[in-house]
Formats: sequence, C-alpha cells, structure tokens
Amino acid sequence: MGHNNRRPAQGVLLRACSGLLLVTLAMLVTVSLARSQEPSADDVNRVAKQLSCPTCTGINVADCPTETCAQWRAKIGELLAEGKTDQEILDYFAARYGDHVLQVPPTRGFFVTVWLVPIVGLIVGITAFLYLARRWSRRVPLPSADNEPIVDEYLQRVEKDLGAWKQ
Amino acid sequence: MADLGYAALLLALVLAVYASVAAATGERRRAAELVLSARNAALAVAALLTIAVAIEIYLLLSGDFRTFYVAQVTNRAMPDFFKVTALWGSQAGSLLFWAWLMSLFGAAVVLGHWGRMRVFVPTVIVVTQITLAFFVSLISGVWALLAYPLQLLGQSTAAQMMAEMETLNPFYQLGFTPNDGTGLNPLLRHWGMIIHPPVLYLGFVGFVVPFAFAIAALVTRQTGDLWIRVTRRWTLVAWLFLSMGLLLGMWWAYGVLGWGGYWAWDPVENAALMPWLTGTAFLHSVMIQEKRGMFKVWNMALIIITYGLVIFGTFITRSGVVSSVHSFAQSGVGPLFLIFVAVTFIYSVVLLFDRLDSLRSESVLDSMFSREAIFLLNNLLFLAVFFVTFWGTLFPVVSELLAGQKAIVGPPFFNQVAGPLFAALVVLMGIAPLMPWRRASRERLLRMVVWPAVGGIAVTGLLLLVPGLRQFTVLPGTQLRLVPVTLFYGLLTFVVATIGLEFWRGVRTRRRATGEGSLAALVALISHNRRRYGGYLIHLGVVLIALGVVGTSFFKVETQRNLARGESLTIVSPLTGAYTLTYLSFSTLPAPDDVRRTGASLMVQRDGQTIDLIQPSHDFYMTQGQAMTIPAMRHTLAEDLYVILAGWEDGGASATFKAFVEPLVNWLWIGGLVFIVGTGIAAWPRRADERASLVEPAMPVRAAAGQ
Repeated sequence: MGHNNRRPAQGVLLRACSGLLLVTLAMLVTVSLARSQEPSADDVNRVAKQLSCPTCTGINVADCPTETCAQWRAKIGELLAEGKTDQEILDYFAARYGDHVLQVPPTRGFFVTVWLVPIVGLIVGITAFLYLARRWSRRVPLPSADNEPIVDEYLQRVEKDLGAWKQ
Repeated sequence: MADLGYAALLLALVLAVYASVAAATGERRRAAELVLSARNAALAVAALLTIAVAIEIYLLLSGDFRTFYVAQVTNRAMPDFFKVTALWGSQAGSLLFWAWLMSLFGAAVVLGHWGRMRVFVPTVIVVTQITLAFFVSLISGVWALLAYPLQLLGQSTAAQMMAEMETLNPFYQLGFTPNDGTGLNPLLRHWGMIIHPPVLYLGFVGFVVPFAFAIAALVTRQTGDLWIRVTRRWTLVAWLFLSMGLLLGMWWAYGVLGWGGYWAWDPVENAALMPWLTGTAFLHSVMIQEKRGMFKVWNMALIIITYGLVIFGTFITRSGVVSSVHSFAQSGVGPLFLIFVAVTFIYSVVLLFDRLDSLRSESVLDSMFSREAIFLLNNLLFLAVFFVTFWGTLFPVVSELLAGQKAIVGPPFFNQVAGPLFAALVVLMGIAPLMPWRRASRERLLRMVVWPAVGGIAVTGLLLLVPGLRQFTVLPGTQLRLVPVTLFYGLLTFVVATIGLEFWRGVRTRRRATGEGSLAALVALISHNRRRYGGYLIHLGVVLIALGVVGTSFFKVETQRNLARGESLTIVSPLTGAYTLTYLSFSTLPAPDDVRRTGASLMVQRDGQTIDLIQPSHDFYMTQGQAMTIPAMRHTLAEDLYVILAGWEDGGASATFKAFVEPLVNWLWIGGLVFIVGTGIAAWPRRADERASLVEPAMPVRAAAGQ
C-alpha cells in the first residue's frame, strides 16, 4: 500500500487533499453537465418528493398520480433545466402556493415549534424519568396491600367442602 | 326491510341507554335485580345490532339503491363479495359495524365474567353501554332532531351541522330509487383492504374491556392487580388485532398504492399507531404491577389514554379533521366525537385522582439496574414516540388555529424524530429480559450480556472492516450512513442473541431435568411458559420487522425512465447488483366489466441472463373515473424488485416506468408473522387448573338473582 514510506502522515494528508479536490471537481462537472442537459425523471422526482400534493392528502408530488402533480413535475423539470437549485425550486413553489406545499414546514416563525416541542418534550421526559426513579426509590412502601381483596384459598376450600357436605 | 333495520337500531339505542342507567343505579343501590336487568338489556343490544347488520348486508346484496348508503358504496357491477364488505366501505356503515363489534364484546365480557368477577360487572356494563349508545346515536339520526331547536335559538351553523347527520343513518331512504349506485372506491377492492378495517376495528373495540375493568376497579376501589389479571388476555387479543390491522394496512399500501412504500405517516395511519404505542406501553407496565405492585397510577393513566386514543382514532379515520380544519365542521360528527372523547377522558382522570390514595405503590424501586427501571424507561420511550406522532399529526391543525398558517408535516419529520426513539426501544428490548427484578448484581449482568455483546460487536466490526461485506451496509456515495447502520445491525444481532440465549438456557435446563430431546424440550418450554416465551417470540418478530424497516429506509433505490419498445433501463441493487428491465410489449388485459386494464411486459435480466418476465398494469375504473396502478413485484428474501407503469404514449409505443429495489422488505412481513404467532402463544388460554389463581373477591353485589 504505502509507497510513500518516508513521510506517511504527509502522504496521507496529500492524498486526502487531492482526493477531496477530485471529488469537488467531479461534482462541479456533474452539476454543470446536469445543468446543460435535460433533467432526468430521477432529478425531477428528487425535488418532487419534498413537495406535497396540493389537492390530495398524505402524498408527495413524485408519487402522486393526479394531473396537477404531473403539471408540477413538468414545472420542476423546466426550472431544473433553467439551472435552478433544488432549494430555489422549493422556495418557488412555497412562495407561489404557500408553505403547506412543503413536506416539512420551513424553520421560521411559528413553524419552529414543530421541532421545538419534541426537543422540549424530550428534556421534560428525561427529567420526569430521573425524578420518578428517585422518588420511587425513596418512598416508604405500604407494608401490605390492604385494598387487595381477601383471597384465602384455604377458607374457600373449607366453604366449598362444607357446601358439598350439606347437600 | 330498511325500516325494520332502522327500528332495530333505534331500539338498540334505547336499550343501551337503559342498560347503562340500570347498571349504574343497581351498583349504587346494591340492587341485584337491576344489574341483572341491565345485563339482559346489554345482551339484547348485541342481538338487535346483529339484526341491524344482517339487514344492512341484505340491502347491500339485493342492491336496494333507495337506501342512501347502498347507493353510495355499491353498484350493480360489483361482485357479491365486495357488496358485503362495502358494509365498512364508508362512514355510516363502518360506524354501525364498529358498534356491532363493541356490542358483541360487551355481551361476551359480561357473560364471561358474570359468575366470577361480578363485583366489576355493573361498571363494565355502564362503560360499554354508554360508549355504544354514543356510537349508535351518531348513525340513528337522533341528533338531526336538534336541528330545529338550534335553528330557533339562532344557532344556524350548528343547526346545519346537526341536520347533515340525518344522512349518516345506514338505513336512510332517498326520495327516489336511483338506477345504479356509485360503487366502492376501487382502492378498497383489495383483500388486504377488505380484512384490514375489521381487524383494526376489533383491535380498537377490544381495548374497551381493559378500560371498562380499570374504571370498574376505580369505582369499586378494588385497585389491586385483579382487574389486570382478569383482562390480560382481552388486552393481548385487542393488541394482537391492532398489530395485525397495522401490518395489513402496511401490506395493502405496499401492494396497492404503487409508490413503493408501506408507511407514509398519514394522519389515518398515525391514528391507528398511537393507541398501539400506548397500549404496548400498558402491556409492559402491567407486568410490573403484577410482580411488584408498583406503577398502579401509571397503568390506570395508560389505559385511559389508550382508550381515549381508540375513540380519537375512530374519529380521525372517519372524519378527515386533520387534513383540514374545515372538513371538521361539515357535519356534526366531528364536534360530537370531540365532546365525547373529552367527557370520557375528563371523567376518567377525575376518578383516577379521587382514588389516588388507594393506588399507592407496594414496593420501592431498589436500583436503576433492575427490570422495573428498564420498564419505566421503556414506557417513557413509547410515550415519547406517541407524543411525537401526536404532535406531528395535530400540528397542521394547531398551526392553522393558532398562527393562521397552513402546514403539512410529512414523513421526514417523523422519521427524524421517531426513528432514534424506536432504535432506543430496540436497545432496551435486548437488555430488559436480562435484567432481574429488584436489583442486578454487576457480575451477573456482565455474565448475561457478554456473549450477545460480543456477537453484536463482531457483526458491526465485520461489516465495517471486511471490504466484501461493505456492500451490505452502504450505498455508493453515501458513506455517512455506514456507521449508524452497521451499529444498528450489531444491535439487532445483540437482541437476537439475548433472545436465542434465553431459549437455549431454558431448553438446556429442561433437558437436564427431564432428559427430553431438544425439540420436545423447546415445545414443552414454550407451552409451559407461554407468556414469557411468546413474549420473546414477539421481540424476535420486532427485530425482523426492524431489519426490513432499516433496509427499506436506508437502502431503497428508485429510478424512473420513459422507454420506447425494446429500450431498457438499469437499476442497481445495493445488495445484489444490477437489474436490466427491457420494455417488450403493451396490451389490454381481461378485467371485470367496468374496468379497463392495460399492462406492459418487461423482461428482467441480470448479468445477461433472463430471470423473469413481469407485467405492471394500470386499471381504470370507468364508473368512478378513477385509476389505479398495479405494481409488478419480484420477491426474494434479499429484496423486492417493484415496478409500476406510470404512464404511456401513442398506445404504448413508449411508456414511463418507475422501478424500485426494496432491500430486506420481506423480512418485515416475515417478522410480522413471527410477531403474530408470538402474541397468539402468549394469549393462548391456560388450562383450567392454572386458571384457579383467578379467585373472585368478596362480593358487594349480594344475593344476586338468577342463581
């Protein structure tokens, strides 16, 4: 493996850098190629998946069979061909039709609470667990359960036998 | 005929109201003959609703289109089988069906426990019959009677909403006889969807039993674990049906909806998932009360929440409130449901607070390293998933009401927030069975954990280090997923190993003690400890389900191409390599009268070898003007190849295909089967001698008649 035995650390670093550079270059090339070409159906679906069907419930634009969604996919294709980024396209639809066409609400204004509440809930939950665990380990238990129904198998057997004897 | 059905419905309503009043009075005055009368009324309600359902089915079969409901959900072209199942095809019918199931449960539980647990029976009658009366009232048209007085009071919107409810009656007669009906939604004409609603409803309705006994325990102050032991099997059966309902729904979505997925975090799906989550927490935490007399308030709270969610779920699935606040106000059903849920919930909570003194714990939590502590954590995690699901489902409503902004909370939110919580639950599932009650000594715990942990670490290590195995963990270009996914596989290995070890230890002990063969020892082990080993099987099923979920969530591949005849597309599976699909031909296929079915044939090739010929198709339902895509699937244990025909041009000269590779998806269904078998074993009735542990408490209802 290591042909650069003398200074391995530097070699690794160098290779990592050049690798990173190559990857970046490759990405740039793909992006520019993609921009100059007609976008593929997979590119359109990638964006369409992040939008909700405006006329039906619980389905994204990529999977939706309605006419409206087909038009939206065509529009996404046009915008991609114009060289718009995914985010720009999402913003375009959100600005035109409202935030509720996005699969996840944007993180601004009131919509922040959609993420905030679970986080607060998690903190409250962990606190509750620790609190309950502490409290329950200190509490003095009842010596016996005095609300428990009286279950005396011996007594019942006696009763039963008595009944049988009486008959 | 329809009049007869309607009469049965009205009589059932009157008797349900009577039964609840009589049982409540009988309980308060210790009047045994009133309780007996209430019982008989409850049985009569079940009989009357059975008649109503039978008449409704007769009307559906005979095509009585003058009955509004029949015209809504059937048409002449539909086969008889679908006509019968149209009983739960729309709102009025499914509410009738729900009420009927509930009345059967109510009758069965009252008869079943009349002799033994009579102390609880009056309250159980009150709870079941009030719920039943509410459901029957919704479909009996009685609320429409309020329309006129409300109008007089100037409440015209409310009056309108109530008036709308007149047509919710499954026996409502139109003023004329239409020539034909609209017919059932084509999406529902699939046998997965045919049995999914009844199974789910059985699950929903079944939870009334533990809830009614919990309330009865509070009312009578018999707050020991008796109510839990009495209802254990009822709860398990309800939970089994709810689980099966969820799995069937997923299976249906996967096979019918044609988007290559099985779970969309849709409000209706969430509505069924939420009671399952809290119900699962309940099933676990009642074990602590049985063994250690702890968590009493907690268990009461869980069953109250679960039952509230059951009613809420029925409401959501049948009202569409979450998709828009506006659909809520279209008929009176939404507001009435909300009031009913609120009243039930508030009453239960008030009762619970009133009885807090009798719910004190009998033990302390000895250590954080104990099964009790792990169970507590398990419960909080289940509640956390529930809370997240609840929040995400209701957020659109909250946002619209509070901020006036419409929003949609889609799958990415739920996956990101609930995903890690589910993963944590799987971790606990591996650890909990190893934890002893009260307190674990460190040595014992280490000894138990060491081999499963070695197995888990070994799997993670192998996947990370052996280059040939990398393909099982990561898609090209998505290296970031490598670490969490390999860790998760390691975790699943750990859980399977702990479960396997438990079985192995049990079998070894039995063989030493009795000299049985391995298989005989295994069978005997399971059949003598059904709860325990059934439980382990359920956990094993969950692991397999998790495998399928991880596979499809992280490694799913999809591509879409428009192909001219003779052209091919290639889709690369992360597990098994590339598939080449070649578009061969396009044809019209034989189908029922009102359906136009077109299909495209594709040749599936792999390394130049033809391995299959598949035919995705497209159904057009002419009556409803609705289209349906029928995916073609090629199942293997490693993955499914899933192809849909998305569209075509010029009579099929070219066509658009969407192809998916769904890695490990079949483990989801296999895991589901293991899960169901495990639950069945855990719920299987005990022999009579084992049943003797359920002894009746002292009876407040004395000198009951009829004996």
